[in-house]
Amino acid sequence: MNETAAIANEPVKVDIWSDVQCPWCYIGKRRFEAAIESSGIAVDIEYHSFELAPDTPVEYDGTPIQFLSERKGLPLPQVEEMLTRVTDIATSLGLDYNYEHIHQTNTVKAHELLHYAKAHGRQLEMKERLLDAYFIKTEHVGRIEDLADIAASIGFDRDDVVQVLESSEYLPAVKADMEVAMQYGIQGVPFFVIDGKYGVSGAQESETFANVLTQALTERDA
Amino acid sequence: MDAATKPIPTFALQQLGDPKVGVCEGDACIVDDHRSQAFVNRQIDEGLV
Repeated sequence: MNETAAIANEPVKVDIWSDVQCPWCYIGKRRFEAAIESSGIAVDIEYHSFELAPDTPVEYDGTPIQFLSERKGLPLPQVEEMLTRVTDIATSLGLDYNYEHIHQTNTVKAHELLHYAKAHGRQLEMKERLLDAYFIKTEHVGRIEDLADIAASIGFDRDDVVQVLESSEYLPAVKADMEVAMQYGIQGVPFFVIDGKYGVSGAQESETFANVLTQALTERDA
Repeated sequence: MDAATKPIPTFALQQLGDPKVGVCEGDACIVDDHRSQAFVNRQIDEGLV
């Protein structure tokens, strides 16, 4: 196989900037997965950290509805209406967001855990587990002990996770992701970078994602 | 930071997809029917991130 053919056969690299408490990120994840399935295009996915609200306290005593109401100065009914649309779309994809019981929190430790999982070759599994934990199971994804429980539930060494998160070993990796996001000019998530050349913002329809993947492959072959 | 002072991104990307889709920026997650693709070319507002 010559070099050109080898490149053409390589999976499409997809770098995704995302936050654990981003409702559109979970929706976008499902739609992107559907695009992969429908297109049959091989991809190599890597998640990157994006902290939407890094000043949120770990122990925020309230739901995202209350959080947004306080932050934006909006009446609770207006926030609820805003979230209803995204919740309805999530439900249509089989994701039952439970905003009444979600724990709004700081996600930096969750991002560190994602980098830890990546170092163990299991980042995608951890990403799914954390999104499910936050939006559907309404587990706390800000506290180290809770994150260790979540990690242990999918087979990670709980004590090792606690030690790694307490030491902030992967904090530089989180910050490095944020730096690259700045260099790409990313302001919102989810944000998909395809083969390092194409930028796709937001929770696109799966057909759109499939078209983008096809275009990336086609232009690679050109 | 206003548009005039925002640095240009270091890495240029070709933008694909529909710009009018759901996205989270800062603590707001919205569908903005008037969104333009220009936002991907702006620098992150350090006050939000």
